[in-house]
Amino acid sequence: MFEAVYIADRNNTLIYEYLINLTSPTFKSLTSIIRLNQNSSGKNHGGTSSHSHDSSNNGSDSEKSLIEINQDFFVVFEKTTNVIIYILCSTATTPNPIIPFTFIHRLIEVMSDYFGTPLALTKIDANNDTLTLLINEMIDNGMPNVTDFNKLRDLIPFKSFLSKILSTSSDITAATNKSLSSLTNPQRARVELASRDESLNSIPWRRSNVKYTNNEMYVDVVETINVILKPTSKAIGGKNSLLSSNAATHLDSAFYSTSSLKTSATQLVPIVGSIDGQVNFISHLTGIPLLQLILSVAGLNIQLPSFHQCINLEKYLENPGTLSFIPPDGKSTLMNYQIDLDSFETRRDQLSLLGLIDIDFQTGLGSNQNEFEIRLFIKNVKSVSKIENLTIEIFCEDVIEENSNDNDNNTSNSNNIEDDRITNIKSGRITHGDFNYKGHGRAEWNLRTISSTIQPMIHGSIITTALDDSSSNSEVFKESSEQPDLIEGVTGTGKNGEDTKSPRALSSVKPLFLKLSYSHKGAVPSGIKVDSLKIISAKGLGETVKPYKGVKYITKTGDFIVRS
Amino acid sequence: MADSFSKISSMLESAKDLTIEAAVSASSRLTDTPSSQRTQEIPKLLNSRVDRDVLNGMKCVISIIARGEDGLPYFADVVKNVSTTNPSIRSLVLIYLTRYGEVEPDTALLSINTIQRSLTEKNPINRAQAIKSLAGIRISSILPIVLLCIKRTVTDPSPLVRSATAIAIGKAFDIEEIESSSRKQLIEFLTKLLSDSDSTVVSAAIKTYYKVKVEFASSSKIWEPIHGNFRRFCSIIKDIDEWSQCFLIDFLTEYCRKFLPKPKLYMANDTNQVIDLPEDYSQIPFPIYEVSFDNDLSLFINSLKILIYSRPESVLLAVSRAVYSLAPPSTFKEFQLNLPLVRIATSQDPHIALFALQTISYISWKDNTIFAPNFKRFYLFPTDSFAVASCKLDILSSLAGENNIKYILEELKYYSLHSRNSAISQEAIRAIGRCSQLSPEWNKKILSWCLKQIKYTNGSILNELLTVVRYLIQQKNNFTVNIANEREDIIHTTYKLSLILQDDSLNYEAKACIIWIIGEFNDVAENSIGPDALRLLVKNFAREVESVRYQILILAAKVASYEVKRIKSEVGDNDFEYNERLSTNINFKMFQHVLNLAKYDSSYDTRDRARMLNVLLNSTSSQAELASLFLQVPKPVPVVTSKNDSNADLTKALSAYLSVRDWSNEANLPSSSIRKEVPVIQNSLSAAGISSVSSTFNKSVSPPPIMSTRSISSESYHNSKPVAASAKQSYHLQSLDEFFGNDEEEDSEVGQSSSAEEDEEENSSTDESSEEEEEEGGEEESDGEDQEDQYEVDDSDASSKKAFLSKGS
Repeated sequence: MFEAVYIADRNNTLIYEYLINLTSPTFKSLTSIIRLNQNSSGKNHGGTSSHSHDSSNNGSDSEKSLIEINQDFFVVFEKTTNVIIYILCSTATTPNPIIPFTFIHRLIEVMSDYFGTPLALTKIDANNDTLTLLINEMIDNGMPNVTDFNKLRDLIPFKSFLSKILSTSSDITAATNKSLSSLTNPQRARVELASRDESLNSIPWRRSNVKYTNNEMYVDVVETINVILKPTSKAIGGKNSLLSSNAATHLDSAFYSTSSLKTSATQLVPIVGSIDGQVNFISHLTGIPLLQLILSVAGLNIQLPSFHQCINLEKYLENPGTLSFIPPDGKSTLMNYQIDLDSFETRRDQLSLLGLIDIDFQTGLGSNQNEFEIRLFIKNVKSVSKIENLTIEIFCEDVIEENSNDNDNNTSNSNNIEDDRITNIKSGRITHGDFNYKGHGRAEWNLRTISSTIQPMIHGSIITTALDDSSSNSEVFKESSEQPDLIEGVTGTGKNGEDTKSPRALSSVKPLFLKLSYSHKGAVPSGIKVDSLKIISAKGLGETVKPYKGVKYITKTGDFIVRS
Repeated sequence: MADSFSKISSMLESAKDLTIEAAVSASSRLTDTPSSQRTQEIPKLLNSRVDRDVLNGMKCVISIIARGEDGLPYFADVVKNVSTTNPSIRSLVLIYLTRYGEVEPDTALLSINTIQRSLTEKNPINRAQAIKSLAGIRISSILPIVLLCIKRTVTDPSPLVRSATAIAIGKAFDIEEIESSSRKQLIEFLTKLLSDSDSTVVSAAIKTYYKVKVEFASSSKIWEPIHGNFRRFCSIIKDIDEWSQCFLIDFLTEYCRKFLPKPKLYMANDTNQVIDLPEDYSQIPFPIYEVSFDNDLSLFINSLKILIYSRPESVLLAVSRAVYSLAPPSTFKEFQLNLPLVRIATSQDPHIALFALQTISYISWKDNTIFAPNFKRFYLFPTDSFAVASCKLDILSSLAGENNIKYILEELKYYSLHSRNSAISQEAIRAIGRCSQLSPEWNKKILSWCLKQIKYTNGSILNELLTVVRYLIQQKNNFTVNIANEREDIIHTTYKLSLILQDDSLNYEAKACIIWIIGEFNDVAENSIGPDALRLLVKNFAREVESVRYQILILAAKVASYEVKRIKSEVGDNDFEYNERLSTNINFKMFQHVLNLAKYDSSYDTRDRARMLNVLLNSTSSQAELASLFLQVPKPVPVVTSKNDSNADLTKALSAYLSVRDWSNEANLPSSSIRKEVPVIQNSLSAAGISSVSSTFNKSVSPPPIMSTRSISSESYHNSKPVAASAKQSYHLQSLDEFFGNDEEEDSEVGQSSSAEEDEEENSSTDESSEEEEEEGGEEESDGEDQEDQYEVDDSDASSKKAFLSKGS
């Protein structure tokens, strides 16, 4: 099973190591192998990691996460913002390859609970004695043991000398808060004192003797939209009388569009999409409360959600939407679910789940057919006042990759494309936000935070070398004549240089796809609502204590792609 | 007022981070001092009489180890502190001891007595720590003591200690020179813990069992503890922790395949046709079938049903593996296991998603009906990494069926032409090639698409396209060459390719590849296209690139060899006429011309090959057959598989996990009576007499300190006789301990003990009261709604919540 845990910084300098056996290899002895593998994986996919910044910006700059050291051992690792956590496993007794990853996740959870987020080098270094104690409990005899941070809190108290001072000071504030609140709510101050501090409760996910002066609980419903939208012309769409209303809006947009009306027959249709949802819970409740959370999920097909172990499954299966549980102390994720757009019969239902922003995306406009126009229509929902971090990335063909990927045959074959290489993307008219060209065929329209009542629009054009003046063409011409081969050199130019250009320059240049990202609070696309959150029974919590409750709805985008 | 206080507390929160860092610099001062001074400083601290200094010293030692340096020099000074009463110091010392104990066994032995003594402490955490570290100090000479201690703690009232014992058993197995008798004893203890009443203890025991099982895989007796517990495990599987769930599912899967009969399949509405579950699920002959399971097998499989709601991905993977390897695909579908797997596969965590994708791809290649309804979920997002993308493409091509190929193919075409990463485009084209196997009709459509694209693509994508074209043609050639229209197809395709050749803008690699294809199928086309293509190519021979020239030479040879063969078969052994006809044959003349051109080629390879072909084809007729064999040998169909080497390690690890042992022969299976349940061991009430004793005790009586100081001391280690006596004594004390354990645990099963009853009454009364309160809350409906409204509005973020809260209070 596990042989060692190493924590290193992003440059693979060791910060912390925990060896299960004396015979386990130290990090030093493995560094070279690890470095080699991390580098080589970077080299193999040089195209992906160095050029397409888009694919690496979701956090995984190295694809490889499992390195085989030799026949008997392998290392898995996970990168966080500051540190890399490695786990050395023996092959013979680690059959389920996901276990080490799950363990790393638990370790990160525990470390952030103890040392705070984000994980910082200094914090790990400063508390490496506590960390040793923690890992000593989490891994025993090479097997994952107690990994729940609530349970670990029982086993390993974490109080440094300074935090004691801090806790006393926060006690003072708490005490004053208490005295103040006792004026309005005298029962709140009554904190039950558990007499036996040794007793460990039998709930494996909740630490014992939880005491709070301010009892509060928060529910966060977070949903992430992943979708690919594709334009479909109305005629092909077939039996879409249902869509008449949508089509109307698109026609409207075309009417206002300054360019032309001819492309207005297309509309965006999701070809694949899903909404990933999460119900997060923060509990600061004294004693052992039993809670009931009722979600209204009417009309939604929530496919086999997964639950935190605290959720009473029988209750949920009887009444879908009812979560009955004794919450873990602190932060936890109660439920993960996914809604597949494919499970909805009609397109209208599918479109209604795509959040607040409708897009109108036209390409191939202008005399050179190299212009495009994007309009955003933000649906007005009362609970959502503003859209945050709204960014639209525009991706065109990234040509440079072609050269670097085929090192062996980089002579003449890429010249064809180089003719219409994209040199710039310009914005003609823009109503809101900033527009920047980022290189490699990628541009970004950054709207930041906008109120939900405006309708931003952009009209841009893609500048390619083919559209530039002819001087650059002659350069291409020269380049292509640099053939290594003797005979080729004589004749290659006439063949590769000009002939292909003429048909290509005429074809329309358009962005490959758009990537939309934004977040907002106040509503989730699926329309799931927290109907009620009740305390069913509260052992240890005063009978009349009414904890503060909060509900938050957050919508985010994962991959929101609009194809052209 | 409240506002300002909350402000202060939030300020203090932020100050906390700073102060922690300040504390770092203070405490790490020692570890930063040069090692020469450190060796003096640390022992000084460790030998101090003040606990705080010792603690600091220990922290230094631990952090030295954590930085990858050697902590051994401080061994003696550290071990001295084992008798400390400070829990923080002791846990650090014990960690140190388990790390370095085996290196300095003599010094380590000094600490054994103290650790043993803490086995009798009242705090279960300390007892658990003691038994774990005792077994963790891997010194073979203390094994008898370890065994005795384990024997004691196996029946400890606290589940925490019993779980620790289970772990200790696993550690004791690792001690070198362990005798088989003590092993047997350890297995006995473990068996006891496996049937413990508390699920946390069973969890720990399962982990240890799993580890031990791997080490003693050869022993046939290793399954013995499982038989009696099999049914119980199935019933408690949802209560144990996530890790144990994985291990339990894994070894029970193995168990099922070893000790249980295969499920039987029979056709719906027709019970006469019954077959065993085949290894390869694609061989199930019935379109619709029903399954009958062995009772125990269905018990296990049904127990897994609830686990598909669990969160850890590792558990879901384990469940998928179990269901997939124990039941036919229909059960997999019935469980809807495809949904959680798809959810993980499309989750945000790229590493785990990759594992799920690999699993799906593994299953889909064996049975593509399971994930077929979800095929759209495997469409590529432009942000997918190459590893994820290639895995998704693999799945897409495996899922292609008559119903969905239209959509899948359309997507694949999009990726091959519009992907920003050319590696993904190549994979997509390969996937298209794989889809062509579906039916001749689709093969045709794909082929014509490929031919169309050849003109517009270049570079690696073009190469990939041509490989697919070659693959498609060869496929036709291999399987259906006898059918006339298939042959026509091939001729037609090669003709189209020869037309493409005339396009001047064609990339040289594509050109070389097309020439090769024309040459290769020249035989099938009966020299109808090759010679003409050759005629056109020869004109420009000198202007072509090296690889194209080489391929022209080969084409010429193939065309010539076809002629040679034809003439040979016509004229027989008549050498004169053979030479006569050959020299007048235009195709052969072209070959001679190409040979002449190639003679002066700049490339060694081409010159070399020209000389060889010259000898082969220009000499006497006897070599004609050799030449045609040589040039027209059927080439193997290129294997169009994913060239995905980036995650080979990962694939290897996963496929090793997904493969399972074979089903046992049904004739040799033991009867199912071996799985008769063994009684569950209730340690909190182990002896009937004790509970009656305990019931006479009143709760208010303060417990006398339990100290069996000499229960198992080093004395007993040297002399075996007192051991028995002390063990007996300890048993008695144990029971008292148990009683207090009951008191502490509030085990609901302790019905007889009055104290527990009281407790329960208390509980229920509070429950009732809270219910009442709930009802009251119901009456104040409007009030509650108000409150909800308040927090509905106030959902901007946590800080504002806080502010709101303090305002409200």
